[in-house]
Amino acid sequence: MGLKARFTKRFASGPVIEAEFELELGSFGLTVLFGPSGCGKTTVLRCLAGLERPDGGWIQAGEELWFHPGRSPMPSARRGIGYVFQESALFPHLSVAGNIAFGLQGWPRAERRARVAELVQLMGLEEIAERRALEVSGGQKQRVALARALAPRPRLVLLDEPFASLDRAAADLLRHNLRQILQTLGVPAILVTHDPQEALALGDRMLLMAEGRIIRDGAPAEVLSASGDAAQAGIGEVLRARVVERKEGMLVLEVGSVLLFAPDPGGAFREAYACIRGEGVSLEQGPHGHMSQRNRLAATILQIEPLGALRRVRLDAGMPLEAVITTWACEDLELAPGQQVHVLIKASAIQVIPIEA
Amino acid sequence: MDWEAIRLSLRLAASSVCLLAPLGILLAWPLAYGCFRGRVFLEAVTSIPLVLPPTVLGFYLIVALGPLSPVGAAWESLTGSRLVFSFQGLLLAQVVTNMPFFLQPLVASLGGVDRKLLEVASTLGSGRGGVYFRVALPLAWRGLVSGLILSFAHAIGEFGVVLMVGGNLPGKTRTASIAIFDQVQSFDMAGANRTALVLLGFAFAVLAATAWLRARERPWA
Repeated sequence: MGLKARFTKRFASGPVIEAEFELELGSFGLTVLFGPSGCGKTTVLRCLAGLERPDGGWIQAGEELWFHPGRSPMPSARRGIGYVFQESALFPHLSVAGNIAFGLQGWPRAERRARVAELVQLMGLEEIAERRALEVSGGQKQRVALARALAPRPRLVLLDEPFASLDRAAADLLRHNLRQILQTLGVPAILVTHDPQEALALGDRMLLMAEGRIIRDGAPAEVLSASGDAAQAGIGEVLRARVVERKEGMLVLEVGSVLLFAPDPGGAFREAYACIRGEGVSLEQGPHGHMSQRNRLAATILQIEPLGALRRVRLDAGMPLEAVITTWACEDLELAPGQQVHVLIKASAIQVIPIEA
Repeated sequence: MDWEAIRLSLRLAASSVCLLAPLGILLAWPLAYGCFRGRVFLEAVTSIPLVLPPTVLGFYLIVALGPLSPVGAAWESLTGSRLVFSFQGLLLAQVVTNMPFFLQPLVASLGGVDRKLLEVASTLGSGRGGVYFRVALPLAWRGLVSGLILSFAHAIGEFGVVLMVGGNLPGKTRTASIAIFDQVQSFDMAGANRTALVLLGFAFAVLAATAWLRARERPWA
């Protein structure tokens, strides 16, 4: 069974939202709806959930018409979806367990209890299950919100920037669990985010949105690598650069105290932004001194942070730089803050955006 | 001291709140969340007793409940007695008169409930009724309690409508406020003073109770 959507939504201000995509329901898969703030991601999600009524088009899940012009839209309550808001939106008058059980009205009491217990355990909420929803921390609240959305066995889970209101540690922890939990329960999900690292770390598929439209659909790495889209989405470390030399379709850029080689997008500019994606930066240990290779720089590790299944390594390479590498690579190289390493930046990972004079 | 009138006032106010609250809870829902054409009309109709002179309201109620009206005629054929100048007629008049005092704080509280919570409830399978009774109403408890207290207090003190619809029949329609009027008319100032003091004390107690309730910590409302 699949979800097919093709609809438009207009607001008095902002772009017209046009969404067209299909999604497999029935098995796990995490689709990232990615794009800059204000491009319409949340509206798409709300239309799917029935919280917003599209102006035209249709939404269909298997044989069910969720939205079709000329018919009254199927109410949210009957769509079989779970929705997690940016702020957890827990019911403050209920306990944690009461929140999780909210969608299980009509279930036999024994089954309801068993389902709540199952989710409490799966989400690691044993210690706070009886507390009032207001008394738990931000990270825990979002876990409860996720448990609450998953409890009634939805066909599809919609996650609207669920980590945005959390501090980094809580966000990383939940991000780390999210995929695993959804996979365990076999629920497909759509995750709205504007964080490319999050999209890369979590998504199986990415729908890239810009100015109200889905402009690309594919594997997250491929979608992000497509340079034009990456620019629109504003990805990577963005550094001010000065053009030193142009030759053979390449630029030599002065960024901070170092020189970088990058593809020339064309034009007669002298100043530009160099956008370096952390996925295009690799690290290696090796003898210092010999620096003949292009885009190979000596750097010091400032900080290493978990990023789902990946690690984000912050570096000082004469300019601020981030590398996103796998946990294995991090362990193999025995990386630690303060350590001297070499970074190798793929020229193709540097996107040059000219600054108009 | 006219204890009979005070007892009647309390019984009348309590009964009218018991009738008015369930009806008001149902009316508050479309007033707070409804998106329909007649909403402005409904809002105006339910607030009219706030601005209408009690004599005007009382006049229309006599017309509406009188023996020539469908309601009055139906009541008379069922019970054999008249609706106007009876406790039951007074009760209906009180429900209409005091409805806005119940509705206004409740609707305001409902309007203050975070919309996201209502949306979450609907994605969790709750229909409109479920969203209202399981989420909106419990979260608007402050407005509900305020509405109950205010409508009760106002029902105790209502004078004009009571006089118009109920007249002044001891034990049936002669409430405390009518009794005071009566006592002053017959120059029984000491009697009027005693009854008035009871009502003053009552009003003070009600307002203090409301203030105390509002000050109590309930972080979600």
